[in-house]
Amino acid sequence: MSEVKNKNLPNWVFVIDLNTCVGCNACMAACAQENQSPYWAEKWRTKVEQAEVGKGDNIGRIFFPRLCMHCQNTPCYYACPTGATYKTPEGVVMVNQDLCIGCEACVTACPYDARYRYDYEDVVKNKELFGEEFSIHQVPHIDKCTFCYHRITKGLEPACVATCPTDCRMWGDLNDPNDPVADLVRSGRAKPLAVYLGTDPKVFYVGLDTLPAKTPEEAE
Amino acid sequence: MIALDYSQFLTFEPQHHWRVGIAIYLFLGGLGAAMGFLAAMYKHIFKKDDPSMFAWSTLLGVLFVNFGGIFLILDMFVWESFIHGHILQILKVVYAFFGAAVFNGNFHPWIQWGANFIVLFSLFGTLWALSMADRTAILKHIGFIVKIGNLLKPLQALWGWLTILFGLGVMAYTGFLLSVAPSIPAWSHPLLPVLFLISALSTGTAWYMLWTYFAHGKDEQTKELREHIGHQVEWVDIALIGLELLAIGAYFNYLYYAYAGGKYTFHHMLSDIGFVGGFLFLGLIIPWILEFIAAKVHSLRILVPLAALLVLFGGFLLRYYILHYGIYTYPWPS
Repeated sequence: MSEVKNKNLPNWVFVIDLNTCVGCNACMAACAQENQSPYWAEKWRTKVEQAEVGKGDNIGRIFFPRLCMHCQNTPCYYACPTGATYKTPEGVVMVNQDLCIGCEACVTACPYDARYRYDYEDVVKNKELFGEEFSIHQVPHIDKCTFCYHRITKGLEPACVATCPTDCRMWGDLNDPNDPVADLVRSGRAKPLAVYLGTDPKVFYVGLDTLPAKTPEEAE
Repeated sequence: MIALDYSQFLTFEPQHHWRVGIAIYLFLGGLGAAMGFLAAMYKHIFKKDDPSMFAWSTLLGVLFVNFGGIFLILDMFVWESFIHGHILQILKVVYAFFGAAVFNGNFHPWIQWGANFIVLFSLFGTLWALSMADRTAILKHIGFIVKIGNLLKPLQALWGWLTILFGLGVMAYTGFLLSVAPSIPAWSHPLLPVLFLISALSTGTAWYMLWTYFAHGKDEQTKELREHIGHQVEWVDIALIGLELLAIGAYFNYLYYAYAGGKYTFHHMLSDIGFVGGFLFLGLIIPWILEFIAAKVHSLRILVPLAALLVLFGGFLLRYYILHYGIYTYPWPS
């Protein structure tokens, strides 16, 4: 389980309950608005994968939200030659835009498809849409989820968590013994993705063992 | 609600980040480093003396390695920014390659090791080649180069050994660069650096096969030496291609038995006519047979340059297809 060395700092965890995701994509919209991700180029910091399963009358649809896992054993950090990828003291994996050269070593290293190119064209388009002054993407770089670091350090939830209408996305602190979200992780009900990779993620899923697929009526 | 076992869901998705430009970078990096490595090996280990062939091959090797490096830079954002007028962005690359590890204390990134290997190989390879300038075709007629060469000559063996060391580093690095992608079975393969090293050496020997076939030398001694070296590198390449075939076999064996993503990659690579027909057959097996025939039957020496060109072609295709079949295995349904 992910550890933060300094016990005075929060040990944030992100929990996704696959039982309650209905695939409304509000999380993607909230994230794109909050973090100015280039939705016009179909690039997202968080996505909801969808898959149809079953046959005949017994069909269903799976909704699978995903984002950067903020691995504590971090493949992208080990691949980055410039130090652009770094971890905050709380273990949140970030990108320093000014140091990124766009070699894409981190993109190929990431086992969770959590990174994408914020191209020169995207920077220009972003400045057009949000204005030069309010654009948070000033130079081309590799972009990724930051757990909305600017929000969580002020005591707020990440934008996708705050927006999720079914509370499928939850935010907790493992260092808080009374945190019910952290309890899901501590109890083992919430599990990380692809444990075999040894990446020690900070994102956990409830419902991985019996992936719940909604019937057409339920999805409605 | 229908409950399903999650473990049956995986998504296989081809990477589209590193493509033909990076394949050229890897190919020229391996070939160029092998040219310098083999020249310095012949001079300082096997005590052969052909300054024109060794010095020019090493200088061209340095050129190839650095020309290949341009393709890596072209793949980056800094180039985009540079052409849009943000000229100082290019300094980021210099910082990344030569300063970042010291400031960050992060010595893991292979791309940084590789950049340093390339620079040191280029530096020592050039110094070593220049130290032979007084006996090297064309260079011996350029006064200031001969003067610099004479200053470098006392430490020639040191430059040569450093060329061997960093040449080896560049060749192996091309494989290690790809090994940091844990969810791409074709890249995070333990044999890849070995496979690329063997392939690089094979393309290097192909270079010397071409040189010794087409450039016989002016004096009798050089002619005899080049014939000897030409014959020797043919046998070395026969052994290297044999080893490469074994490494390829082991590579696919591991892919098949390791895990689901490996099996998926295995089936796709081996059902691609370009990989099987182009690389395995035309780039490996055919030149192997041609080299063997040419080595045994003197009247069929004409097959040597054909085999060498096919080996070079195969070396590029190997890297191209390894990049092309960089298929991610993602742990979610799609």
